[in-house]
Amino acid sequence: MLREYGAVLLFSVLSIGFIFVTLLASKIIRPNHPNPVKNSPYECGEVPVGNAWVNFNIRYYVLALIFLLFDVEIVLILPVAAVYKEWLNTGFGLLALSELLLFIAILVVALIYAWGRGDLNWIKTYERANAMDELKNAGDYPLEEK
Amino acid sequence: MKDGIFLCIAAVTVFGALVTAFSRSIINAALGLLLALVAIAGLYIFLSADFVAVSQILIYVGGVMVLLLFGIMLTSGGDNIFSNNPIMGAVPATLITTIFGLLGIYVVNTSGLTFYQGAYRATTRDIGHFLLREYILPFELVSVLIVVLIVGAGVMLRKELVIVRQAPQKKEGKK
Repeated sequence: MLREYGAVLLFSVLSIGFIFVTLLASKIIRPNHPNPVKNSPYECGEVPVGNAWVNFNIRYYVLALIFLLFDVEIVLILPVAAVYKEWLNTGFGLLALSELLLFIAILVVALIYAWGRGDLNWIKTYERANAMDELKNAGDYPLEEK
Repeated sequence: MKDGIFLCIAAVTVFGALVTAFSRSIINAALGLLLALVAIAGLYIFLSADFVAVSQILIYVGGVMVLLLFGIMLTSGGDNIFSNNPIMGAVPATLITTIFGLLGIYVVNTSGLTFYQGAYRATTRDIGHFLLREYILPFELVSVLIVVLIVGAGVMLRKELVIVRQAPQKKEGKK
């Protein structure tokens, strides 16, 4: 059984080795005449401005956070999926399916919640997220002044 | 052969951990952590814990590392991106490493834990049977826990994205 992971190991070693061999070969073969314009990063022909390290939008972080939680879900479904066929063959397939569907249904509630709040929208309608705050503050700060 | 591969993967793990600890660039430190996490998944396979290895790859390498890299990219890189991982002090680092190292050696020696010596046995199927039979309630409760976490993430996000709305200037004379 452990031998089957040999393929995984071989694949990893080959893919990492391929990168090194390719870079080494091109370093040996290519002519070496560097100049500042050549060494600058390629920006579709434009002259690059400033640093490559810019502050990313916070929305990436939120999407990554939600992705991580559904990742945990996938990991837990994985072993169930591995034995699902055995449960089908012993006649308890419906039971396993309903258990799995209940697991997913609870998570769909969370997905609907995140969706409804607009967490999954790239350009979030801020008004929706802050609607309650605005209602609460409407008395203090009238939005339209006459 | 088997021990040789195990030692190679262990060496890669230690190398990744050392890069994480000693690299002066925080991106390099994060990539060293990535290497260490991938190699740890290999060690899990040698210890006959294939499900833990897959979880390690999916959650730590696929999820937590992405989160960590986004965390780094959300910050401003600092003036010099090649030395933005400051050394926090050699004395506390040595002290903490020594204390936890000795603690680890003590725990391993007194608990009677040994390396798994038996033949490799896949565990994913057993875990699947357990999740559907004995541990069905915890299995469904994990789902509820994830719901709570998503709601919590949403609430955190809401605090991050509140627009600061300027209070309208009250006109003089009126009221």
